[in-house]
This record gives sequence, structure tokens and C-alpha cells, in this order.
Amino acid sequence: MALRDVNLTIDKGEMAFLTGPSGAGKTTLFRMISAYDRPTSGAVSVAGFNLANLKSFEVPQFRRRIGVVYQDFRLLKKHTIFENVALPLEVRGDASGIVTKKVAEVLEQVGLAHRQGDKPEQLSGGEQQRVAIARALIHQPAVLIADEPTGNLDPQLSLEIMELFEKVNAQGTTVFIATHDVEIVRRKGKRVIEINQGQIIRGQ
Amino acid sequence: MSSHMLRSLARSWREHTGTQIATLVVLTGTFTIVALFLFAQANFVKILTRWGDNVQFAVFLEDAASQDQVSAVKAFLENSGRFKSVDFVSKEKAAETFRQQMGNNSPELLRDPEFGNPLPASFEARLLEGVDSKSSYDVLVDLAGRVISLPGVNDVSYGQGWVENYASLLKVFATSSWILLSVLLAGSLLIVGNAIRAAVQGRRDEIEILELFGATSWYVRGPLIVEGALIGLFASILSIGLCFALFQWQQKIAEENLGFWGLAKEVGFLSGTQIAIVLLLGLGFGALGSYLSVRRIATGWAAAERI
Ligand SMILES: Nc1ncnc2c1ncn2[C@@H]1O[C@H](COP(=O)(O)OP(=O)(O)OP(=O)(O)O)[C@@H](O)[C@H]1O
Ligand SMILES: [Mg+2]
Repeated sequence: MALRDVNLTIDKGEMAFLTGPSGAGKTTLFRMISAYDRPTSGAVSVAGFNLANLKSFEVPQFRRRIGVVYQDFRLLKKHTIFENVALPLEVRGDASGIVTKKVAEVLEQVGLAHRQGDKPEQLSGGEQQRVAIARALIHQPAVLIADEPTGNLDPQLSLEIMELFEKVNAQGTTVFIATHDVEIVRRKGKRVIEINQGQIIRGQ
Repeated sequence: MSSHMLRSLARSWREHTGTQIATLVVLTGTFTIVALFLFAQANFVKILTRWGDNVQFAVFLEDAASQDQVSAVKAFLENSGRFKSVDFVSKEKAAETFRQQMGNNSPELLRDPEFGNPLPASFEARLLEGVDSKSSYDVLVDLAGRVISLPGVNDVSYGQGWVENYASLLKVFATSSWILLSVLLAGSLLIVGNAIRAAVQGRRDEIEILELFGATSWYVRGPLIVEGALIGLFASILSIGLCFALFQWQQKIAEENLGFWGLAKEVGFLSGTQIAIVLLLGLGFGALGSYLSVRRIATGWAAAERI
């Protein structure tokens, strides 16, 4: 059991950071609130869905309402950057004209407009990370959950990405970011939740 | 068909070409046997039915039967509504026919006028409808029972032994072909399922990512089920082509060896309905086999629980 007695509420439209040492349980918590793992006990409510009693057919409905940046990116290796970023729109059946336009927009925002036709393996770690960020944002999710989204980026790029997240947050998306980057956390002055050994020790 | 499906199909062919070809070959073989069975069943029944048409119903009269009794038997046979013709064969005619058939081999006794004629007079009746089932055979048995109890009748012959064999032969053939067909079709489900499972194994990670970004189970399974259906359909088309080639070859042999079963002209290729059945079986069993192997993937929660 990687999490114990976690009791946490993040308000709609809020932007919060999750920090803590490696192995503290940040990713575990994110898996819980993004319907990656089914909660074994307790109640988890995100974007109006009660994840503890989520029916199988509701799982995709819920996942379309949130945007997730996975710590290990989870890009489709055999697909192009375009196809990777288009995924959240493709699975809900958006028209191809809209998809093309939105993919171009969001890739522009992360500075990768020129790499649409490449495969993930042709990109650097930081570039892949930005593809994952673009994919998490393209469908304007109600909640953005980003696990270590700037871990592979240089300080300048990290700042730009954080500004992008603030912009998205200003448009109404709830943003929850796990990070080790104390400098960024300090500069942004947002709510910080600290976790250690599966327990929240600050910011509850 | 969406581009998502087309891309998925193209990938299966690219990444599992060997499996796909093997599946196609085995399925084509399976459906060819299925098609040949339908073909054989239609024609076998045709052959047996023609055979059954020739069943002779003979009523042998006692030598002592009176003229009235003979007339009564004739009337009974004619009024039964089962025969298209009822012919009287006198003792003399029977002996004559017998002598003709035996030629010089006929026993001395028969040629000896002193000895008299041991052959009985009889009625030979031709059935209106052939024996093509157990029930039509039962009707015949019942009729024979009533005829034999008429005064002046000595015996009734309607090929008792072989008609019975023939009826059970029909039954055995029908039963065994259903068993074989079931086994083959069940096998085809496994074969398609196996090909689809290979495709799934090759993209587990990918399927998980699709699910994590909101793909429904049908978005994931759809292309795989269509893939199975197409393999099945394609195999059934190939098998019909193969059957047609076999059929033409058989026709040629039959023509070259006139009288080969004497059936060359009567044997027809699969009917339109039968071809449609084979194609639908291909499509249906392809889709079903595939469905059975993907029904446990992409079930919503199961990012971790996989086949
Ligand atoms: N699938 C799993 N099964 C069992 N234990 C796990 C599993 N995944 C993670 N853990 C354990 O749970 C604890 C928390 O892991 P978690 O990945 O949530 O840490 P984290 O805070 O995200 O660390 P990092 O900063 O390194 O990403 C660790 O001790 C880890 O070993
Ligand atoms: Mg982590």
C-alpha cells in the first residue's frame, strides 16, 4: 500500500503542485486520480466522476474529461507526432479538419510545429515530453494532471511550459503538477502539497 | 471503414504477414471442406433419392387365389394412392421373363414342361414417390403389412433389407456431416482467434495508451474484429474458387470416362444459396473467432488486466 490516509481536495479551477522525494507516492496518487488504477478503498472524486464506483463504460468517458502527462510519456512508438497528439480527438471521433487544425495549434504552443511527421524515437527526451504535454492539452480537459512534466527540460523551456500551464489554468482547467523543481514551485507561489512515504505532510 | 481501421489492418499485414498467410491457408482449407460437404450432401441426397425412386413393390399371389381375390388385391393397390402403376405379371409371364434373364443358364427343371411352373403370379407396382426418408419408408412398411393380410396374397417384397439400409445410410450421412462441420467450424474459431491474439500481443502497450486517452472498448476491438471477419471472408472466397476448380476437373473426368457414376450431368455446382452460406460462414466465424479473443481486452478498467 503506497498511499495511507490521504485526504486531499483540490478546488475546481485551482493550480497546485505536488512535491516529495523519489518514491514518496506522487505517481501512485496520480494513477489513482486519473483512473489508471482502481481505488481499493476510500472515495476519489474527480471532474464530477466518483472513481471508486466508476463503471467500466464510464472509464473512457472520464478519461476524455481529463488530460494526463505521464512521467514516462507513453507515446505511441509506431505513430507520428501528429497521430500521437491527435489521439484524444481521434478516440472521440472528431472530424479530421478540426483535428488537423488543433494539432497544429497545440504543437505550436510547445514549439514542435515542425516535427509533426516524425516518430517519437527521432525526438530528444525533452521534445518527447513536450509532445506528451501537447497531447494532454489538445482536448481542453477539465483537469490536467502532469507527472514531472518538465523533468527533461532545460530551465528556460521549463519556465515556458509552466507559463503554458498557467494559461490553460486561467482558461478554467484545474491543474495538478508533480515536480521536483523547487525553484519553479517557489517562483510560482501556488499551493504546494508535500507527500512523503505515502502520506501528505504539508498543503492539505 | 474509418482510417483508424484501415491503418490497423495494414499494420497487422505488415507485422504479422506469416501468421496472416498461415491463417488464410488453413481457413481456406477448412472452408473448402465445408463447401465440399454442402456440395456432397446436395448431390449424395440427389443420388440416393433417385435410387429410392426405383424401389419395386411386388405382391406375390397364391397359386390358388381366386379371380375375385386377385381383382380385390389389384383394386386395393390402385386405390391406395401410393403407386403410379400396378401391373399384373402372370405365372407364364414370370417364367418367360425368368427364362430370358437366365438364357441358357436357366435350370433344366424350368424347361421341363412336365415339372410345371414354380413361379407365382404377381403384381408389380411402381411407387408414386421415392423413399427418401424414414417416414416414407415407414409408410411403405405399413402398406406392405395390410397387403399381405389380403386373401390370396402369399408374400410382399419391397426390398425390405436394402431400403432399411438405405434409410439409415441417409441418416448416418446427415449426422456425420453435421459432426464434421461442427468440428471444422469450431477449429476455424480457434485459428482466427489465434491470429488476432498475435496482433493483440504485438500492440499491448499501444492498446493501453489508447485506453488511457479515452478509447472505448469498441474503438480498440472494432478493427480487430473487422480484421477477423475479413480473413474469414477472404478465406471463404478462396475456398469457393478452389471448389469450382475441383468441380470443373471432376466434370472433365466424368465426360472423358462416360458413365462415371452416370451422373456427370446431374451433379451441379453449389447453388447461389450455398455459396452465400459459405461466404457468410467465413465472415461470421471470422468475426466470432476474433471477438472471442478480444472480448477480454479494453474492458474499461483493465489497463493492467490483459489477455
Ligand atoms: N506497481 C507497483 N507495485 C508495487 N509498488 C509500487 C508500484 N509502483 C510504485 N510502487 C512503490 O510505491 C512507492 C511510490 O512510488 P511512486 O512511483 O508513486 O513514487 P514517486 O513519488 O512518483 O517517485 P518519483 O519522484 O521517483 O517519480 C515506491 O516505493 C514504489 O516502489
Ligand atoms: Mg513518479
